[in-house]
Amino acid sequence: MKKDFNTRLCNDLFPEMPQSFMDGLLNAARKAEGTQNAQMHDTPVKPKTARRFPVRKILTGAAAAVLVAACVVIAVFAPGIGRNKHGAVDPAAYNPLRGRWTLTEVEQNGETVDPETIGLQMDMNFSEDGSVTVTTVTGGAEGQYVYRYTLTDNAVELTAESGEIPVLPASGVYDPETNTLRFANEDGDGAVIFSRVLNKQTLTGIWKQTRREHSVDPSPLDGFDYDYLKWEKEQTWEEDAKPQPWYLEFTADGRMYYFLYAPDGGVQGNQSAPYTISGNTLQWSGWTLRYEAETDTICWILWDRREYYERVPEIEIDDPYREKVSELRQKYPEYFDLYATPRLKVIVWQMAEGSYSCALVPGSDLRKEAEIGIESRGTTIEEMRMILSTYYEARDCNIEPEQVEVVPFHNPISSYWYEIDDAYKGMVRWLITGTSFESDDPLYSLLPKGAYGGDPPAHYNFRVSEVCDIDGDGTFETCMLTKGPTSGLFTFTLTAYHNGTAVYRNTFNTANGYLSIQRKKQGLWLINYDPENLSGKPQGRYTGTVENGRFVLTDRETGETMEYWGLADPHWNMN
Amino acid sequence: MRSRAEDTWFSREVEALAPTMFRVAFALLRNRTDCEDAAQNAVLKAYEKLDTLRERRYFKTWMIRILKNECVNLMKANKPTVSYDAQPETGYEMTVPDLDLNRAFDTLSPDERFAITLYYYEGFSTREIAALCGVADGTIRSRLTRAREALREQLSEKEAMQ
Repeated sequence: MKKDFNTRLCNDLFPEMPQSFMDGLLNAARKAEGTQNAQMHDTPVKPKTARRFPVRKILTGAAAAVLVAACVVIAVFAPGIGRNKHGAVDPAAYNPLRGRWTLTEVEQNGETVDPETIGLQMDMNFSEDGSVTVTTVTGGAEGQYVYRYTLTDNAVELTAESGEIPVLPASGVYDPETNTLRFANEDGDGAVIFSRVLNKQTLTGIWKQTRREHSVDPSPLDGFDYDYLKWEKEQTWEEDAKPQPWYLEFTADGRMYYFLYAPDGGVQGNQSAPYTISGNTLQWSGWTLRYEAETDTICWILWDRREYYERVPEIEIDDPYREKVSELRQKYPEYFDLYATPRLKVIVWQMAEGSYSCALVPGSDLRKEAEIGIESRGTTIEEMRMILSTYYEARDCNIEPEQVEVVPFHNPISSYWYEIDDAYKGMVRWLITGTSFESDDPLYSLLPKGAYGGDPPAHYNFRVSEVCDIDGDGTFETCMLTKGPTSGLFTFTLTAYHNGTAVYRNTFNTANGYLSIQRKKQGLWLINYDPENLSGKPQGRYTGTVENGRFVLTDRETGETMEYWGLADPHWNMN
Repeated sequence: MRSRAEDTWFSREVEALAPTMFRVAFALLRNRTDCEDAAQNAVLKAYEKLDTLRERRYFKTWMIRILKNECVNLMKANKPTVSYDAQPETGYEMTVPDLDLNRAFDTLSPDERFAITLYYYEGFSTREIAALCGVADGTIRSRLTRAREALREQLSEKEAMQ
């Protein structure tokens, strides 16, 4: 009988797993465990029966201590366990014991024993109100026991209610670095160690630094309780620091905890601050987490307001750009979602003067350019740049403009002839990726290169080219920033190309700085950063549009327009 | 130091995950030998990094993520993907249930094959697959749609020719 498509898809795609696959996996697991054990143990592991833990000894030893401690602790803290040492309730104080802990190690006679191997199981659940429930699964002491507890300078004191059997020593020590609780036996020859059970939603987002924001996708709040939300990231905000893991935790009591881990795993620093959630924004001291609900890809933006706020221009919703990309996806599906690792190849040919066509293939495509050119549909340069932007933004392929190979060639179907020399190759590459083009012609030198004492730090991600609809006519242009033609005066040139042909160009005179452009919903932003203070407030932020055939840059604070240089002929040096 | 109990737990989890790992690796690599290499490397790495897994209930997604990375590494190493047509008989002893479907599946991109496998065979939601791949939910949905359309189209063409 003929199966329908879904049944085929769900049942008939994969062969049976061969037994050799399972054998290989189990061998690998055994090999890994064997290697680890060989590194850890110089002597063979003792059989389970050799390990005996004197549970009752600890229990009886603890009993007397608990009774004494109970009297003392109850006398001191009686009316209000859960209050601080001054007697006042401090609901915002961080209680690191809150939550569940489980017995993970037992020490006896200098030997560490896995509690499971001796059948010992014990959990502790610390609540906010100062009570702790101990659940034991041991011979003769099974059950649940409720105590009161206090925490003072990492010293934990337990007191049993009247009539309760004490199952733990009265005093313990909380170690914030290892997140463990240790109860030593009264006679000093044993201890039980509890570890925190992370009863939290764990998220590991993929973070990417784009335009000086840090983004994570998908939304970490989506579908998770706000009670325990944490991120893990292996990078700090510090510019020059080596990657270090850090950890954020948002707790139900309205506080955020931040821990910076040292390379050896210890806690190097931490801080805590209250946080608030309002709409799609999470805020705490100096930090803002914003959920961009209106963009078509869910994106979280996290930045340190102290360092970055002034440097991040408004995040605009790229409706026209994204709509265009969507159209292109329909029009040229063959150029989207290609297997792009480790690189992509763009084939470029000219059918006539100022008429470029581009095709995109994976870097591993070994066909000759002519073969690709004949078989492919050509896009314009702007279309190709938009298609490429989907790869730059995709979190799972990590393609950067530098990894795009641009290959100009003569398409045999065209009779138009042009010289393909190094300058031409550089220019085409520059038009498509905005990278790696140096020329003696100052118009074609990228602005930050070789000027003002070298390139700005890479992670600031200055953009000197951007595709946007600069003149509002519904088509997209490639806008490029270049150095101006002067040496003593700071000038720069802004040029808009349409498929390789310059359509608008103007030179401006402004304060010396690093310039960066960024696409807006209509037009672009131009931001001028002080080279001496890149983290500070920009020297100028301008909106860029085209009016009457020339670029107009308007200061968004003062409303003044930026001066043109020289005669400001809108068609100066267009060809 | 890792306890024996943890070792036992790890082995059991790996054993339980083996069929899933096979399908995921096979979807990406389409070659049994490579699947075994990638899966074994993933197991070794997972054990080595087990301390970084903060919650055991995420073991499955964590392991699949490691396995996917291993598969991508193998693909990067320029190992040619061998299609069903090109499989030598001696090195390919498995019987595939639906050869036409598998040939069509071969033509999908690795990302699409990965999404199809997790969605249809492992019961992952598009949101979970998106989190695993580090892409937006919509991206996974569109990959699934494209993949389904491509498969359906190729199968109908094939059946029309028959």
